[in-house]
Amino acid sequence: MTAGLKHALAESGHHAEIVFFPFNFSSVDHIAQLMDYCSTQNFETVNGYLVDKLLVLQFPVYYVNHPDKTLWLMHQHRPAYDLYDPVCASKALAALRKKIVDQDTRELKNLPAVYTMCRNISHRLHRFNQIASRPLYHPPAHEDRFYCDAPYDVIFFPSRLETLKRQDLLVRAMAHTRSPVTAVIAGEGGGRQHLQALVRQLNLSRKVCLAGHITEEEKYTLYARSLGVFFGPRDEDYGYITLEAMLSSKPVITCTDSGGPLEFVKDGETGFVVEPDPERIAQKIDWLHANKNKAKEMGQAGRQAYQEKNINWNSVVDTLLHR
Amino acid sequence: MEQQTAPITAREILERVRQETERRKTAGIAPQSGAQSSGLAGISLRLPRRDQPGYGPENGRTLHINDLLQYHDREFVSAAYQFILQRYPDGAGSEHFLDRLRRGDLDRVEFIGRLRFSPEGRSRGVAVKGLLPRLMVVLPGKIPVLGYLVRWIIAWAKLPCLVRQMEQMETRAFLKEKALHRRMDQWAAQLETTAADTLSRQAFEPLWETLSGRVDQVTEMQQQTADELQQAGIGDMKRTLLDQQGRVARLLEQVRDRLPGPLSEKQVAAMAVEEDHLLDAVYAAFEDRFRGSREDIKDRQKIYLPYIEQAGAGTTTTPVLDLGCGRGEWLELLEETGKTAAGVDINHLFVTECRDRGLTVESRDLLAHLKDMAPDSMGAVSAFHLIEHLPLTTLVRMMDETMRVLKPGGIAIFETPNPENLIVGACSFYTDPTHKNPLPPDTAVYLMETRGFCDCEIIRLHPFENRPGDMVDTMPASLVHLLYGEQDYAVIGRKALV
Repeated sequence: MTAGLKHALAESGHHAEIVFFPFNFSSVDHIAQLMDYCSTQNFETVNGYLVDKLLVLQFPVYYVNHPDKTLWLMHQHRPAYDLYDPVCASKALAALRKKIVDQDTRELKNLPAVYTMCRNISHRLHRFNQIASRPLYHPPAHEDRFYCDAPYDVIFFPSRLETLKRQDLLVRAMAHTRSPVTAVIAGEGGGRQHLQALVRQLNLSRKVCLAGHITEEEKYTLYARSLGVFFGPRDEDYGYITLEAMLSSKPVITCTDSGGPLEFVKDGETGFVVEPDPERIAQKIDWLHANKNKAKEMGQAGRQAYQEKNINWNSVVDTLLHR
Repeated sequence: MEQQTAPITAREILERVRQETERRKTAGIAPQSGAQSSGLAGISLRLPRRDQPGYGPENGRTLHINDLLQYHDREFVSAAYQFILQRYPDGAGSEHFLDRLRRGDLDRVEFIGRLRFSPEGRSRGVAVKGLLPRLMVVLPGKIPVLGYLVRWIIAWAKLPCLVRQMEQMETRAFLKEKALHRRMDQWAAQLETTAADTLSRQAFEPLWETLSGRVDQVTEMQQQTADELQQAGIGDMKRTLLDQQGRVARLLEQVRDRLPGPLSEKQVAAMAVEEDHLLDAVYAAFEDRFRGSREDIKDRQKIYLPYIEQAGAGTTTTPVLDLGCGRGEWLELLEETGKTAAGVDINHLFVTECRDRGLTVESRDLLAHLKDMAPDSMGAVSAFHLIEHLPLTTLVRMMDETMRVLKPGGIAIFETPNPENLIVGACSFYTDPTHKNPLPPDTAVYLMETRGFCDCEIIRLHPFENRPGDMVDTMPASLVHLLYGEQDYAVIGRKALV
């Protein structure tokens, strides 16, 4: 994403540099220190260069000072917001949470222009910090590589294997499908062992394949050859998978609580929005199998919808630079 | 389109996808923007290009004059410039040289020499091996008069060398050709694999699109057909069924009658008549299709109402009798205007339909019906598109019977297609296969008058509604009338008061 932005800036004739701060999630102290550090930084001149414009994307770098600062919010510190659990939180974390929310509200409120990656992030920013913002969509990397081909009986779900992405929903759904559809779940991550055990336990080793890491090329082919894509994470921010599926002209099955995908998937038109319930998901998978022509039309409608949204780097750059 | 005959496992699908990805990579097919809305993958095939400027010695070897001499004409000039001056040729200078080279008054070796030892060439200082010896040989030939001799001597001396060079060139040409063929074979193979891979998409995908499009069309057509059936066809079917039901019932009746004794003559006749009704359903459906909508016909028939009125017909004492009443549009129109009317038609289905509408209709042969009627009992007798179905003798009999049953002052109205219109006479008259002969208006009047009708008149009706405007504009009016004039007429006759 950041690289994409830098590339797009360069394409439009700007010189851009990316600045990262190493970030250690686990240490409350470290986070607090980094916040304070960023707040004291001024990027008006860097290495002798005069910086015309500062685009800030995430916590806590967005505290860095510059007279012409624009926020395009990718991440707040979600453990201090929607993922914060007051019951289990330590005292230190509770204190940190207060510090973050206060500082975010104070600092970001004063910015002349606030954009976010997507509506879901805008919602959160408004809910927790009462700051209005505008979602500004950007295309997934290599968007021109996605294509569509005749489908195999396979539902594709590429993503990191973690609890929030809810690969287990798809695995459980596959236990309820009646059609000969299979599922390929691609990606690595901490959830792998759990998913493997689940597949074994439900006796689904023929129907579900945990593909592990796949190459980019394989990803394009899998998208192109899939019957549909499942992407039902819990409260995802943006989620490239939705867009990649649409680019590949494939219908997307997502869930009512999936966040980002809901901004793109129209139930019954470009895919399905169902309760995060394996049986409901299975029904839709079987439907896709039974109505392949309709499924194809849905996919095409998805691609159409994507194109109509006019998601491209040029408009992102224009918006960010000329607010 | 790959068809999966048996359920395959997720792992197998992944494996297929991996192989496919590998194939795409080795075939040099880069999946490109799925810009087509069909989602069809774009294919890019990268073939080596031969005609690319790649002048000069390979692998950084020192430039040999032969490296340049292998080129000719513009390519040669360009190569020489690029190698010796290390720039592209400029317009004027290079064109001048090219011109002289083409005319033959500048030798290529000499050209290389000039380029190399020009101020610019000197400053580049590119070493061209073999240039000096060649120049030594060429330049003396440039000396006036003496040069001619020099060139001769050189040519003599060079002969054996030239022969050798020619042989070398031939060998090289052969090798080059070989290499070229090999290259082409490689491309052919590459193309074949690519083609095999793309065939499914490139060829079948559009086909598939078309097919699914067709399927959709068919589905739509089915829907339409169903709708239409709902509107019209079902009616036909219902009628056919009713007809058959009725006829079977009647036949059964006859059979039941027969059981105790032999078939009576009457029963045989009844069965024979049933036979005649075989086509009832067909004709009823035909009528629906070609005659026009009920409302249209009623609308058209309104023109006769004043005639009826004038003749004082349609009262209970002067009822109207409609022969061959068909679907009963005219009867209905009369009913609606408060007239008393009855119909007769031989087609059971029409009769049933009319009765369903509450009209008074008999199912009989019209002559038999007329014969059974009292003389001087009817205010009017009408027949729409009937007389053209009758053989002449039947027609004359019908006219006679009409004359008999009409009250004095009663009116007869017979509408029929108008053969004065050439299209009607030549074609549309025969649309109805049960039509016998077209009846020209004069003939109709003549017949009516000879059967005793007076005050006979013709009213011509229903000119073509959708004339092809552009054509009509360029045609003489008389011709227009012949083609697009009235398609029907009615002959109206009256029974004398005394």
